[in-house]
Amino acid sequence: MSTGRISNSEVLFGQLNRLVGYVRGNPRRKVALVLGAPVLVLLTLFVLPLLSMLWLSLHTETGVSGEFTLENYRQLVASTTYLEILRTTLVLTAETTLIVTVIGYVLAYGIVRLSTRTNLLLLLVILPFWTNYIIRMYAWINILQPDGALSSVLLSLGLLGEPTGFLYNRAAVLVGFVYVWLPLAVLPFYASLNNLDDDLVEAAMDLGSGPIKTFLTVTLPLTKGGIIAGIALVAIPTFGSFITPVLLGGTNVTMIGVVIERQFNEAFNWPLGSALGMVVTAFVILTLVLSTKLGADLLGTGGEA
Amino acid sequence: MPLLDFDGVSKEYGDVTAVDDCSFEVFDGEFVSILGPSGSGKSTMLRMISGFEDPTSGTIALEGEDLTATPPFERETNMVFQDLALFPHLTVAENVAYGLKNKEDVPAEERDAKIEEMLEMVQLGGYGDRAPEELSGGEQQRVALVRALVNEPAMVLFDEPLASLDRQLRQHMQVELQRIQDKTDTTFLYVTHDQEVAMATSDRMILLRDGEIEQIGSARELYENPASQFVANFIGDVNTIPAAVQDVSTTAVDLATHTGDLDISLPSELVHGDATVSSGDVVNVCVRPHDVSLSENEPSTFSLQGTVQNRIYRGDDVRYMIDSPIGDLTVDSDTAGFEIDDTAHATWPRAESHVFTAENVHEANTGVQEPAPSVEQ
Repeated sequence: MSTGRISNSEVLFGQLNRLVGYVRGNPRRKVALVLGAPVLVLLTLFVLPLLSMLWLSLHTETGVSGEFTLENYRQLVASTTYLEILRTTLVLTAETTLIVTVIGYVLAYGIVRLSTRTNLLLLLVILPFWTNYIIRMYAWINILQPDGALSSVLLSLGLLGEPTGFLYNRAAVLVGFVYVWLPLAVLPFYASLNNLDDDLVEAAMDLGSGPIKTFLTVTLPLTKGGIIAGIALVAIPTFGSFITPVLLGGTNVTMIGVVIERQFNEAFNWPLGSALGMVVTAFVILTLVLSTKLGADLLGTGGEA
Repeated sequence: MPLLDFDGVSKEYGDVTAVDDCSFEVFDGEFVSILGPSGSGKSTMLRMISGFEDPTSGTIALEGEDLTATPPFERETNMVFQDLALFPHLTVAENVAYGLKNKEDVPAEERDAKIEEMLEMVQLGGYGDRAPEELSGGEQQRVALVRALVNEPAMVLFDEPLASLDRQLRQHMQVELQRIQDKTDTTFLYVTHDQEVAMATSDRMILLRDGEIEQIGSARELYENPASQFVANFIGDVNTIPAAVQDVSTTAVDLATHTGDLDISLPSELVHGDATVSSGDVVNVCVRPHDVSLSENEPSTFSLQGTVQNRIYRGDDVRYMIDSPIGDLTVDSDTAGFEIDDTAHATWPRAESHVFTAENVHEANTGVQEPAPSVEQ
């Protein structure tokens, strides 16, 4: 590059340097720059769509015209169909969460307390999570269908007289949910159990508590944060779930996520779909607020609840 | 009958022997310390008494009953843990109440009164509703102590709980521990690596080395009559001067350093351990820094001449480092009259010498290895 001539890139760098100097000169500008980008992303990708859905749910006609109305919400509350679907969804969510919590806690407890191969076992727990969701669901279809693995095994054991299908009912959906969300619960359970100081367990025994009492008075309360986090992490995706009830429950199990999908893709009633969507959103927010209030350790820091 | 009978106990982890055939007894009302460097097996001993580890062989009996098969929660011992292990989700009062609630025979009102009384005993009256984390380190120590004591165990076990405190607080807690032990008339078994704590508090000390008991006795016995070089080094400071045995008679041994700077004849009862030294053996002559005195003129008995290398004013005495032909000598003297680079003669009463056979006698005999004289702190 010849001397005496200022290149374009030098001009650009000069201007960039001035900009950096300008931002550095004022702490407020620095904060704005650091927080600006993430706030912008959150606004455009999360808050705006949510607001547009809320706006849509307050209209009866698709489109932008018309008055605000609570008609969609009135319809939800007035209809026994929707209330029944909501009830099914809540019950299935509760059952899933309960089963996952019990199995997950026992699993995490075993990994922490009884094994030295902690990393390998944790990897095995998480491994299915990296497999495609749909493929995992089809694996279960394969197991539960009339000529599937479960039926064949039970037939050969003489426990079944003829090939039987186990698909398209509540139990199948429940099995699918438990299978899919178990890793989500095991991780916070594991984190909180792993952070539990062994000395505290020994102190309880030293002070006269047997194994069960020690578990109930020390281990359980001190891992509460992880337990609540695991419950929230399982309850939230189960409540809004769509693929599992469709693939494993068929037409026999209708959850709120399934209805939302139908409103958008089949009935083309976007405002009603949005209103149902707002119910799911409300459930998510409520669960998060409640779990935080109860001391959930959502970040898995193992901090004191 | 001893309160605790620790009889021929060994603990092995694979190839490692943490505790090797140790036996000792603790009597009712005693304050006994198990003292030793880290890895000497002292915590393992404590964990076997509390029931968290099973001995590989031997028996542990408390009040005459064999404990070996008793689970921790059925043993009449309570432990003060190294990191205290206060329950973070419970208040101070709930922590203290935890053990009492496991005893069916204590009604609730009596329990509450007892807890408050115990908290008052350690100057924590009215602290019951606080969370442990709101308390200072020293206050937490006292809660942990009370949590153990309130159950009126046959014996309280301490796993170095004072190690994390600063020196001043630690010294205060030592006095507190003795006061509380007196007041509650409870037997304390205290594990520590800190000889200062052990000496300050204990009636008797059990000194461990590599899983074996080196010596049992009062602080004074261990300090004045160490059974081995290791004990002499571990309890207090000591100068170690290697010397060769020149002559052995029925009443005395004549020793000389290899440099010829010190010729000393000592009564043979000062030779510790298996006292069969013979001419040519290499031994260590040990003497406490405060037993050594310095003079300007050569004393008539025996002395080592050297120059003052360093002097440290320590308030009640002055510590001199003397550079002598056989190595550095540490001298704690009341006189501050020597300056750096002054020449001084170091001597000590013969009776204050401790003679130990050098541990690698055979190698030393060949003359290949001359162990450097050293001061162990």
